[in-house]
Amino acid sequence: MTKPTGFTGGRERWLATAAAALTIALTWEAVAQFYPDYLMPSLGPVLIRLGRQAASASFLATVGVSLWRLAVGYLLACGIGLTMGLLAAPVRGLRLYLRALVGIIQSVPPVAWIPLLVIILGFGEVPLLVVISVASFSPMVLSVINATEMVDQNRLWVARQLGASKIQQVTKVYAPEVFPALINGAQIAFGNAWRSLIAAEMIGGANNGLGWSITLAGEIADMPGVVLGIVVIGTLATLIERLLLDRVKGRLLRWRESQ
Amino acid sequence: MRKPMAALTRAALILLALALPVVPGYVAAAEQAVRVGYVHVFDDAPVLVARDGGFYERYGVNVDVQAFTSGPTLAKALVADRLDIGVMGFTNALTWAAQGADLYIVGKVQNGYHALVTRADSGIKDLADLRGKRIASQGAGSTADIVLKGVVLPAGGLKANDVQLLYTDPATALQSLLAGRVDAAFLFEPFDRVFRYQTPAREIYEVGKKWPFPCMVIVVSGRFMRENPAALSRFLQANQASIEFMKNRANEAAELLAPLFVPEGYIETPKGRVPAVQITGEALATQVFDWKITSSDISRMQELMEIMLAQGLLKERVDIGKILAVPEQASRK
Repeated sequence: MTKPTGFTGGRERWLATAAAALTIALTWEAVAQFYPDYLMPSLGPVLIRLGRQAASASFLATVGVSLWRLAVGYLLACGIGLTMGLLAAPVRGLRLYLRALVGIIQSVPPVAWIPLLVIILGFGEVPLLVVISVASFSPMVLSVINATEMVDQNRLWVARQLGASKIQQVTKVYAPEVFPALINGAQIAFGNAWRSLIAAEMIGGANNGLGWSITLAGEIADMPGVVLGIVVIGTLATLIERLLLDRVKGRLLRWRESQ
Repeated sequence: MRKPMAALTRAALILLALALPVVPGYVAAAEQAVRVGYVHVFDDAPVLVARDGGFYERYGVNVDVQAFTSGPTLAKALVADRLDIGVMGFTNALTWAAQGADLYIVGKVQNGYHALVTRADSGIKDLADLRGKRIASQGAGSTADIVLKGVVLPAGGLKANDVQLLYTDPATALQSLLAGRVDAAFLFEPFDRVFRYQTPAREIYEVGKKWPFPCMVIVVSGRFMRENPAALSRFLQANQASIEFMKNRANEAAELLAPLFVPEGYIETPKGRVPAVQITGEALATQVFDWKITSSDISRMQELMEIMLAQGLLKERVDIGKILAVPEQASRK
């Protein structure tokens, strides 16, 4: 039976994460000694401020709206990426086309699209969600396409001989085989989505969210506010990966093994 | 085998000996250059005119002029001692001074110009009509945002949450207004000129006319002010000369600025091409560039500080007098 890798297991991963966080914190503190507090604040006062703010309605609203955008954009991208990757599985020409398309799309930082998206789609949530989706779509579809190309051709041949339609080939052969790649793609896509979310909120016409709050803090010389935002972003991303994505990954892998 | 190596070594030593007198000179020259940061917006045009019009050379100040895309980034560079002089928004200087940064305001460059404009067919005729409307403006906490919320909207009996403020760069604000994605935009030059050429426009409020305030100021680090008073004085004289040139020879100043703000050389409008120099010329005419900090300016600085306190952008009052350092202003006419 596969050992669970979520909160109850994977103690080593948690320790490694804690050690990494400590390294970053100590490095920050060491560098901060050379600068005045208003330019590079120590982490202590920042964490105290975070403790005070964490339960406030405005802070929770800020975090909540960012997480909402992340969830919608990321899940949309995963769904579209998985669907397109699987549909392209039995069609070589379509796979080549998707690779080329994704290659072009991912060479442009998604946030570079924002001014154009705002003019075409207007202000509001839509341009931000599009940016998040574009950023996380690429790794997802590429992972799935790569995995479909690694599918055991014998299994495929047998399925075809048994009269499987293209749809059946996708659902019965390709889909189960691409699961591990799907999960890897989803994890890379999450990182892209999270980074693009923050960047989009900083410059994409948002007036709320974590990225926007960092921009505002920087605008008014509130460097502790900037660092607080960075700490929250890093912590949330780590917790979402460990507590959510790793658990989903564990369950999907167990389900696949049971098949 | 050794002979070629010996020859190479001799050649290297000779080259090094020739270079040695030059290298320290180069290093010394680079160290002596006054590092000046400015934000590449029309409000900071005097810096560009001074640079490209040869005023810094004329007044004997060796400058290394660096462009920044935003005031906060420039302010951080100044506070971190990566710059000696910054030409930036007064509000940026105030927020950092409030944190204890060793900064001083030693001069002015421009009085604020921000026009709240709509399309003439929008049906919006005055400030009160903006209730519930979408307004594109610069980032939250910026000078534009502070005066929009603290001066402009209250003039129409509005509060910030009576409108929908959408924060973006001025080019996107302009395009969004043209595309109908927003109902109004708070623009500075030359975006305001460009907008008026693209479509029939209505100016709802222009803050420079109704509430003149010192927008772009010259900020120096305390260290630079103490260690280089002569260089600072020459810089301020060059700034003054640049501004006088812009006032008295506006056409020539427009020619200098045209390629910097309308790099294509023209803009396309529904009525045909408009030369860049026409855009910058008209933008110059709407602006108030001035090097003197007046008593009215100081009063406005106090008012701006109170507005920032009310908006939660400052935690405590700053003694404006302690961050102003303009004693030599009186000696310059």
